[in-house]
Formats: sequence, structure tokens, C-alpha cells
Amino acid sequence: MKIEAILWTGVAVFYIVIGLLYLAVGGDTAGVVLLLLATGLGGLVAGWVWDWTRRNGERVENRADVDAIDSTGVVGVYPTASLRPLALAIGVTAMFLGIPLGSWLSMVGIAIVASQVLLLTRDTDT
Amino acid sequence: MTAVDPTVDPDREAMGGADPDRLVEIDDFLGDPDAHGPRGLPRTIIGWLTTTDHKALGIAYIVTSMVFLGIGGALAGVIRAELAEPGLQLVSVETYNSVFTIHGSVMVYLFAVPFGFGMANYLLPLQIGAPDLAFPRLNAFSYWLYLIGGAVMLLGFVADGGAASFGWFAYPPLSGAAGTPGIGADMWIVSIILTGTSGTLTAVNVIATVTMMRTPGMTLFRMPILTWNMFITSFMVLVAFPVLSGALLMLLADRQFGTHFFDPVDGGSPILWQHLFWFFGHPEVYIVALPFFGVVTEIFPVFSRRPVFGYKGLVLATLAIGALSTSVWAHHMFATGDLVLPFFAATSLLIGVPTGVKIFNWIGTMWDGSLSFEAPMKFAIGFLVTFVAGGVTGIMLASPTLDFHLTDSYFVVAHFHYVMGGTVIFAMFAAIYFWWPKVTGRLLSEKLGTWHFWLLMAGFNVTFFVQHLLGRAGMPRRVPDYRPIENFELWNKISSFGFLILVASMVPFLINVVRSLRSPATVGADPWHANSLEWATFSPPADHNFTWLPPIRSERPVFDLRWINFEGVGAPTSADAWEARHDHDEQWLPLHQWSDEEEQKRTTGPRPIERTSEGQSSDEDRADGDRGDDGEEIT
Ligand code: HEM
Ligand SMILES: [Cu+2]
Repeated sequence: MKIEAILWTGVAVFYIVIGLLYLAVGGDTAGVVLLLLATGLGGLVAGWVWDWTRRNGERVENRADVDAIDSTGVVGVYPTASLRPLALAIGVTAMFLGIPLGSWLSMVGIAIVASQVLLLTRDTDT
Repeated sequence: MTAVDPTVDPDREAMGGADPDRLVEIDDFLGDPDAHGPRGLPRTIIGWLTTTDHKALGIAYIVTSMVFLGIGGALAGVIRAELAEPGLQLVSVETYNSVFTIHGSVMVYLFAVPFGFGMANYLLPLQIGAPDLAFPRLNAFSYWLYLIGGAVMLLGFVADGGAASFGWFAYPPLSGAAGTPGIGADMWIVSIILTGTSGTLTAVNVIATVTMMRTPGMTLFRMPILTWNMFITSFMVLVAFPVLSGALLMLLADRQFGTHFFDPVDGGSPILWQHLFWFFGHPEVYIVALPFFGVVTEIFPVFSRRPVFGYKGLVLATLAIGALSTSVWAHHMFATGDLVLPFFAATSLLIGVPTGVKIFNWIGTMWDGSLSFEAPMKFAIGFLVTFVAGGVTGIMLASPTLDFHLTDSYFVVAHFHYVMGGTVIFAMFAAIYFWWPKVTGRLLSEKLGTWHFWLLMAGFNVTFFVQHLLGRAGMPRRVPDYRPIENFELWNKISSFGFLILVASMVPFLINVVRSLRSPATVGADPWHANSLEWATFSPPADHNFTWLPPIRSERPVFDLRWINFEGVGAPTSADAWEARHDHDEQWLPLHQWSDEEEQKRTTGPRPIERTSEGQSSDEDRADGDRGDDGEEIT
């Protein structure tokens, strides 16, 4: 994942440079802070990818001369189809709509979200 | 025409006019499409409500966003009807404000961006040889959040006081509790928070998929440009959307809990909102555009019979656009006078450079190619023309001196309709015509496509060109009324008439779609003789996409496959790889298959995905066609 790591490092470097430049020319505080936060975002992913590469070495997916057949074995798990995503979306909407429409709606929303998240974690455990 | 270029199809003319004979067609590799289990979409309502399949969700995204396009278009009809004559004929001033606000918001937040996500859903896993997105349930959650969140915005119309009426960028103090008291405004804010969150989650999903789910051989620099662009777009979403959500929460707190973030009386700052909003808002316009840049980059090479010109340059240009576009935001705020003008003027002009690079790449791809003008190509060229026109006015606006005169006038409206119309209208239809056979297994009529294209081209330019003139002459945007000075009345009439042509252009399209859907699905895997992996599977694709994969030796695996062993054409190493594989294994890289045993385990929960080197054919055909409720294993 070297290329990925370089890519994300580039993102972080770009934002730190442009952020400091903006600070130097007297940019507004919000803009400077946002650019530095973007640096952090890029850096976070870059750091994770570098670390992953250091621990796991290069993946077969990044070699130019391999075929699908060269990476066999379990590569992941598909979740079953599920009503939870829909229920969760309804819950989250109720949660936010409660802010203008009345806190009872937020309560309902929170109850739905909590129950669905709980069920979701139990689903995928099996 | 002497030396053979191994990356280019032999010229059609040279081979007798028609497409030259190839050694192989993709269909020859695939065999019986129905031998690998059910294909296609969920067939029951429960199936749709519970699906986590990226293809079903992709189609859901696309259909939903087209419905929002229809709604946004109807609102545009109200605007153009009101402006066709001076005076107030159709709606009150308040209603007019709601209408243009919801028109803009629907088009940007609920149509343009989600359509791109729909394409990411459907095409991205196919293009990198993956069986699904990395997080299918998260994906389903994103979709539902988008649908329900979008509905909340429209429900604002029935709320007390009507829908939000402060423009799609919601400047305070107008968007504050005193400026817009109604509950519709709060619903608008909640709606954008929800759809924004949905977009952020999809972006996470896309980045994880591209990083971890590529099939072996699909290195980063062999990914189709569309996938690249989705990847970069997703990164921009991660930078931009949370800022908007944060700003909206602050606005909601100002309105509901009495905070003063944007209230100058108590030490807050409305300019802070503008910074936060446009820090999202300018990346947003490229978030809208980049996926469609990707679309035309897939289409030009196919209908020019040439590889894309400057693949790496295109990727780098897109990266540059992605990075730069988060540092130009305040060019929307020149008129506030409260910012570092030279910084933003410079970065805004700079961003024209990578955009220009892309345009040269597209032209370079077509240059000297063996062009043909099927509907996707027509719309892609329509994109190019329209987009360049909009880019030119963008550069004009990036100069503060000109912008002081033109800002908040119809000139800006013309600018962004040209750039946005070029991308989300022309390139969107290009995408629909291009991938329709893949998604449905059917073709669209070329004749109706031609009618559609020319009517759209005429309607679009009649509607929006005169708006440049209107703006230059001083007509402000967002007004329901104007005085009949200058040529205002004439130009507005022309613009409204153009809108009628635009509406008319949808008729051949809709007839085309309906007619096609009623015909039998007989199209093979690769009707356009295209390049990227999605054409290496059935139309519509098999469940979990691939029953086998070709070797990937360049950024055009399907091209290499089609021309394998054809002297002088195709990526040189792929033939060897193919030869080796062919000897080794009759079944060619079986990626996954079904078996009885696994079917039985189906009900007991999620099961592992495996890639195996065993090459038995998959003989299992599941009895029920409903893919709505399955946990699936690939071995
Ligand atoms: C060549 C690159 C571009 C430059 C230099 C540029 C520059 C500008 C500038 C300076 C404005 C502000 C005008 C004003 O309010 O006074 C503007 C507005 C706008 N641009 Fe662009 N633009 C470019 C490309 C694009 C693209 C590719 C899109 C979207 C696909 C886009 C969408 C918009 C939109 C939606 C607005 C209006 C925002 C609003 O006030 O409602 N622009 N552009
Ligand atoms: Cu901008």
C-alpha cells in the first residue's frame, strides 16, 4: 500500500502548505483552522496506511503481475439483507427532526437508533 | 498508417468500414448468463427494503435522484413562467423565494451529488473487480438516510410558513430565527444535515472499497478514470461535508437554542457562516462535477477507438483539482470585501489549469481517432462544449474586478448552469446511454437518442445563453419581477421559451426508456467494445458481479482480452498471461461459485467470501429469484 500511503501523505502536505500560506497572507481564522484540520484528516489516514504497510508488507493487489487466482482464501464476509439500515435511517431522521418539532420525537428517534444499533451488533456476531 | 500501434484498434475505414473482426468477443468467454444463479434486482417490496446489494442500491439512488430532478425541473418551470413577463403573475414573492431555494437545493443536494453516488454504487465495484462495496449495510443506511432526508426538505412546503426561502446557501441573518421564522427552514436544515451525513458515509465506503477491494492486478494506476474520480471526490466529501454539517448545526442552535454564532449583535459573525459554507460550497461544485468528468473519460476512448490520452496526467490533474478546490472558497465572497482578495483570485485562476489539462486530454483522445457518434458520444461532446463555455465565464468571475460588477446577477446564474448543466445534464445522459445496456441488458434507440440530444442542446442554450446578457445588463438573480428596461423582457421571454424546448427534449428520452424496457434483454456483455472490467461480465451482471476475471495487465483489461493474440494489438504482456492461464485452467480464473451446501447455510447468517483457485463450473441455480433476504457466500 505504498502508493496509497504516498497519496495520503501528499494530501496532508498540501493542506499544511496551503494552510500556512493562508495564515501568512492574513487569512481568516476559520479558514486557517479548517485547512489545518484537513491536514489532520490526511495525516490520520496516511499514518494508518503507513503503519499497515509496515506491519503487513505489500499486498498482492498492488503488484502488477498477478491474477485474481493469486489471492485465494477468505477475503471478507457479506452481511445478510436486513431491515436495520432502513430502521436506523428513520430513527436518525426522527432524532434530528425532534429539534425543531418537539423533543418527544427526538426521544422516539433515540430509542429506535439505540435498539437498532444493539440488534445490529448482535446480528453480525453470529 | 504503417507501423501498428499496439494500443489502438485498427482503423475501421481500413478494415472495410464496419468494425473489424476481432479474434474474440467477450461473450465467447462468458457462456450461459443464467448458469450462475439469479441475476437482476430484488423482486419483492421486502426485498427492496432490506437489500444490501450495491447494484440494487445503485439503481435506487439513480432512480430517486431522477425523481428529484423531475421535481426540481417542475420548480424551474414555475420560475421561468413567473419571469416570462414583468410583474407578478403566478406566485407571491414569498412563494417565489421558496421555489428558487428548493429548486437549487433539490438540484444540488438531492439530484446532482446522489446521482454520482448512484454511479459509484453500481459501477465502482464492477470496475475494480470487487463483488460489492466494502460496507454493504452502511451503504443501505446511506441510501435510506438520503431518501428520507430528501423527503423532509420537500415536506417543508406543507409546513406552517412554507418551505425554506433563503437560497441554497442560507446566509444569516436571513436564515436566522428573525429572518425566516417558519418551521420549513428548520426542516431544510435538518434535511441537509441528513443527506450530508449520508454522503459522508458513502464517501467512507468508496474510499475503503478502492483501497481494500481491488482485484489482484488492478493496481491504483490501472483503475478506470471514473473510479479514480469517485475516489478523489470521496476524499473531497470527507473534507467538505462535515464542515457543512457543523455549520448547519450551529445555525440550528442559533434558531432553536438561542446561541449567537452568526448573530453580530451578540458578537457572532454572519461572515463566519459564509466562510464555513463556501469551504463546503466550492468543493461541492467539484464533488458534483468530478464523477461526470470520469464518465466522459470512459466514453471518449471507446468511441474514438483509442486509449485515453495521458492517463497519468488525467489522474494528477484530478488530484490537483481536488486539492485546489478546497482553497478557493472565498471567491464566492469577493463582494464582502472582508478577505484576502489576491490569495483567492490566484488560487481560483490556478484551478483553471488542471481543468484545462483535462480538456486537452479529452481532445487528445479524440484526435486522429476512428470516431463514431453513438448517443453516449454525442452527449459527451455536448458536455465538452457546454462545460468549456461555463469554464470561460468562471475564469471571468474569478477576477475580483469583474466579479464586483457581475456578482449576484444573472451572469452568475448563466455561469453555473453552463458548468453544472454540462456535467450533470449532458454527461449524466451520456452515462445513461452508455451503461444502459450493462444495467438492463437492452439497448436504447439511436434515433430517439439523436432527437433527445439535439432538442436538449437547443433548449439548453436558448434558455441559458441569454442569461449572460441579462446579467451583464444588470438583472439581479432571485427576483420574481423586473422592469421592462433594456431588452429584459425579450431576453426573459427567450429564456422561458428555451425551457419549453428543454421539457420537450425529455419526451423522446422517456419514450426511449419505456420502449427499451419492454423489449427483451438480449444484449451481450460488451455491446460498445469498451475497455473496463464492468464489460467483462454479463448484462445485467451476475450476482456479486463476476463469475471469472480476465488477467489485468493494463488500464484496459477488456480491450486486451478482445484483441488477445491479434497481431500488433493489445497490451503485450496480457497475451502471455492469458496463454499461461489458458493452459493451466480451462475455467479462467473462477472468482467465486455457488454450491448446494452453502445454500443450506444461507439462513444461518453471514458467511465468508472466498476466492479459490479450484476451477469447477458453478452449477447451482437458486430456485427463488428474490435476492432480498440472503446472506451469501462466495467460494
Ligand atoms: C474554471 C473553473 C471555475 C472558476 C474559476 C469558477 C469561478 C466562480 C466564481 C468566481 C463564482 C462566484 C460568482 C459570484 O457569486 O459572484 C462562481 C459561482 C459558481 N460556480 Fe463556478 N467556477 C468554476 C467552475 C465551476 C464548476 C466546474 C462548477 C460546477 C460544476 C461551478 C459552479 C458554480 C456555482 C453553482 C456557482 C454559484 C454559487 C451561487 O452563488 O449560488 N463552477 N464560480
Ligand atoms: Cu466556486
